[in-house]
Amino acid sequence: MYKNYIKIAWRNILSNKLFSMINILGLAIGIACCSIIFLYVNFEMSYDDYHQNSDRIYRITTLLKDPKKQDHFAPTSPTMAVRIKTNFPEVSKYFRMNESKSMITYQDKKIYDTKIKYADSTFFDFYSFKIVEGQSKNALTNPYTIVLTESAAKRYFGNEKAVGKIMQLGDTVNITVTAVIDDIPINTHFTSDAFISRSTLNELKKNDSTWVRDHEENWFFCDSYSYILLNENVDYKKLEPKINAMMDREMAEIRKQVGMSFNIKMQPIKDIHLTSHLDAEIKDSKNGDILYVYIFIGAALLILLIACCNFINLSTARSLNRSKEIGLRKVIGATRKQLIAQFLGESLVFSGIATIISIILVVVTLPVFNNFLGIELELNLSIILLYLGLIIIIGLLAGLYPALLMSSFKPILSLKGKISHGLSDIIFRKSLVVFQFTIAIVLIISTTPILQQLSFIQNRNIGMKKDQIVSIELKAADIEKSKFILDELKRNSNVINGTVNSFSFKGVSNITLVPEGFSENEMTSAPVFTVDENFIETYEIDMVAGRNFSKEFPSDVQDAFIINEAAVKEFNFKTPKDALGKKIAWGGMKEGKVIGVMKDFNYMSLHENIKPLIVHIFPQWSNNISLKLKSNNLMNTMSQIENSWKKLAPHSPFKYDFNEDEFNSLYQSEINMRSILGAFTFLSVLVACLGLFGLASFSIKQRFKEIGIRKVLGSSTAEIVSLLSKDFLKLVFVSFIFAAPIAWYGMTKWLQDFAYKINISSIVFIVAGCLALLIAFATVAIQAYKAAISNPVISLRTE
Amino acid sequence: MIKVQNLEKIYRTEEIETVALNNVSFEIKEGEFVAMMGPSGCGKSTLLNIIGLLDDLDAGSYLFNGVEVAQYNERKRAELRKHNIGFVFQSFNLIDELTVFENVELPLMYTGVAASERKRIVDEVLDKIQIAHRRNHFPQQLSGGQQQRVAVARAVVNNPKLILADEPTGNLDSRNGNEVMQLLTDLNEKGTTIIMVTHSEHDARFTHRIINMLDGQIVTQSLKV
Repeated sequence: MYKNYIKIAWRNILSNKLFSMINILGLAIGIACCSIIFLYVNFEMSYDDYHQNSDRIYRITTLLKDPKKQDHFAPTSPTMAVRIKTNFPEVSKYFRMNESKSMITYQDKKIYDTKIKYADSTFFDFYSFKIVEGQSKNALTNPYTIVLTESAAKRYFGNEKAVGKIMQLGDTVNITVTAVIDDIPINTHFTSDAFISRSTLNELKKNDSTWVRDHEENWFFCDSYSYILLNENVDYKKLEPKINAMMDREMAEIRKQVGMSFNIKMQPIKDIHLTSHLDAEIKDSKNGDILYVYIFIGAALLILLIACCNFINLSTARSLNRSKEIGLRKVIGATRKQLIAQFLGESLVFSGIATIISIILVVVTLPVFNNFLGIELELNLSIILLYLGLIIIIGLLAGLYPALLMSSFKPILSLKGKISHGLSDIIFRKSLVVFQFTIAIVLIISTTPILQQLSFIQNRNIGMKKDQIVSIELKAADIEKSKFILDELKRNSNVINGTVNSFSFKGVSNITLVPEGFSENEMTSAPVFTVDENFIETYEIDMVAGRNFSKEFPSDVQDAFIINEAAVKEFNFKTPKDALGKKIAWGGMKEGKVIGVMKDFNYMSLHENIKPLIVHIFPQWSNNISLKLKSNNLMNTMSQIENSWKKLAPHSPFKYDFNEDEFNSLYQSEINMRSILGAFTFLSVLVACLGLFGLASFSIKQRFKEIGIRKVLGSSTAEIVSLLSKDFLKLVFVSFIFAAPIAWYGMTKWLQDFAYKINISSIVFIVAGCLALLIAFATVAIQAYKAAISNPVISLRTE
Repeated sequence: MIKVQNLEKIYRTEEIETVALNNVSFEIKEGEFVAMMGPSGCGKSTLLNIIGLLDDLDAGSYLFNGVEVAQYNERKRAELRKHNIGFVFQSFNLIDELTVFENVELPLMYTGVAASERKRIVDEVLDKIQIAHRRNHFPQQLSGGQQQRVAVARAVVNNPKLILADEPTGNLDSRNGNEVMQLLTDLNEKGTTIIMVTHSEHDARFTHRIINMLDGQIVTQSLKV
């Protein structure tokens, strides 16, 4: 029996090519979108899922609270994890990781861009990275030991054994390779090429005068990414308040003294990638956004739904053509159940064929998608389950209504061809068209504000000139010579200006401080970066009061701060002028006066309002050289700079970022969304129009005789085209009425995430609506025109 | 085999009520070959459909093999139809997407006959009506006469006790029409009861009895000698 169903389904597909093509192509596009998004979501959800204890690992993050505000950032002070472990038996182990800007070399092999982290000896209790060489036990226990990833080991040692080799950290410090591990999988919330034992860090800092003296015990020096491993069956949600209560107790005294305190928040390690967007996230980590995951899932499912609607619509419309077959089957004894099974079987065949085609589509488009998002998705066995699921779900979803409808035909009426569509059936089909076009129009409308917002961000005057400025990172060993390096580079005639600083759009550090007028126990915190005398000039930042740093005032290095207008407000200074001369104390590190006030400029993403900012001269921390270049012959200039750089800064790779690119990269998620949503919009319109095309062609065929009669009676081609198109355009218009408020709501919500945003203009809606009508009209009108110019004699003869 | 008493069928639309069958009573014995005749719209096809359990009756009684079937639901009707009744239509009603073999095989599928058994039975029937050489052709590739022979084959493949034929030669030329009538006669001679609606006096001559209808009523029943 089932063989028979499949056979007849196959022959039906062949005998109704247009109908079959529309259905199969639409479903294939929908399934392909779903598969790619499935792979993508699977990948996004797989972050840090592979560690043996991933269910028990939590990252500790810091909530810095002062009376006015609360900041949440990813690193904690190193002491935090230790104290938590000591006080809570629920915690089995802790692990801390610190960024390193150093460079490691082996003999004459200086590989600049090796990413290094300092890691506690418990590294292997937390992360299940496979050991390729050496042993995990004690690999990171002793000072001056290093664990390399396999590809880093290859780069330094080729095919030689790495374990036991002595490498150099910076120029002078010897470190021994104790183990080699597999490369860090891409679905990890951090990336690194090498891990140096954290005890090394403490040894090195012993003699470093710029280092915080009580670093390991200081609550306020938050530079360690801290993780804890909980015992089995410990609920972190119950543990978190207990830890915070402990911290409140321990910090009571400090809070009294400085008015500031810490709390922690725990993040399950598996959630970090998609839900953590804190200040000072791990460098090079590219956290995703769960919102976009949802949006992509939604868009893919909607396209699939549009394709299913096509199937339902075309099958029910076409059911009249099959009424004879249905009647006959009933006459010779088919029960309703058997007929339902037959029609469901047919829709399963459709979804099966569509799935096969979708696999081809996925194979072709996946590399493009990967390339675009910079990820490595591949077809794997897990998708087979998805395909089987989709075949069945789509088969049932798309096939059920037509099956129920067709199997309900009365045999006699079917045999006589006297079945007609009831009103409810017609309304149902029209509702489906409205539903499809509502989705398509929502997507059309939504893409426009996204485009506008991104263009608004990219072209907005942010209060500083970032174009044609390139920043090159200095490694620790070259920082001392930074001024000399800058001066040398500025000799290039294509370099207009330059500055040594620690500025980056990607993030600034916060420091705790006490501004004048605040009591000792009212410590606050503010973003800070270090600059030199040229920074404000190079970035063309306006001053509203006071002066810039200057060589004429040598003490600027020791005791001068420049703040922005937001800081003036935050620190309760009356006016920018009033701020001048006010004292600012920065922990134990520096005390000085405000010498100038800058006009507010956006030094962070436009998602954020401009926060208070303090800049000062602190050469030890200035690890960027930023050069403003002439716009002509940029390639040539860059290659000249590279040549000089290699001589001037031998310890630092020539790794540069144009500030413009860095700024745009803050909106990478949005840029990705724009493109993916753009593609989805195109596909949804395409699939909806395929359906409309099929439906129009069917409906026009049904009215062929009417067209003939109207022509005989003198109707013009234009009148007939308008008659045939009108019904469909009405549906699209109704869709627009539904779509407009939905899109408006969605876009308003999306824009809420930006501190600086466009106003959604009503023109967007009008244009999108007209565009949808135009596309729908074009789809229908082609066929309407063909019908309208056909010879009426032929259409009348069809009776 | 069939006993119908005081049968009524009324078609209703919002404004008009049309009496299609009015107080119709008759009986058909097993092994009979009966023709129903009358002008168009007299109700003969409606009656045939009711006998075939394809249509409801509004009043009266219908005994099939002594069992009252007038109130049967759709499932029971389908059950009774597939085991007991074969249909032949004027317009053949073959499924275009199925071959000759598959069309004939279809009723056996719905009665759950095993595949190998189906093949044997269908081959036998196709042989009998001499269309076996066309078994893999599609209906569009056959002449009208051949199509109707396939339809007859399909009607008899389940070995039904009753065949209902609605103007089986209406779309055929006289040579093909005669062939089909001969086929029905042969079946009847082997014991199958046949009720045939026809306009053709010529065809009616093949039957044992003619029921004449007019305006929804039986006007005469003539037994042929």
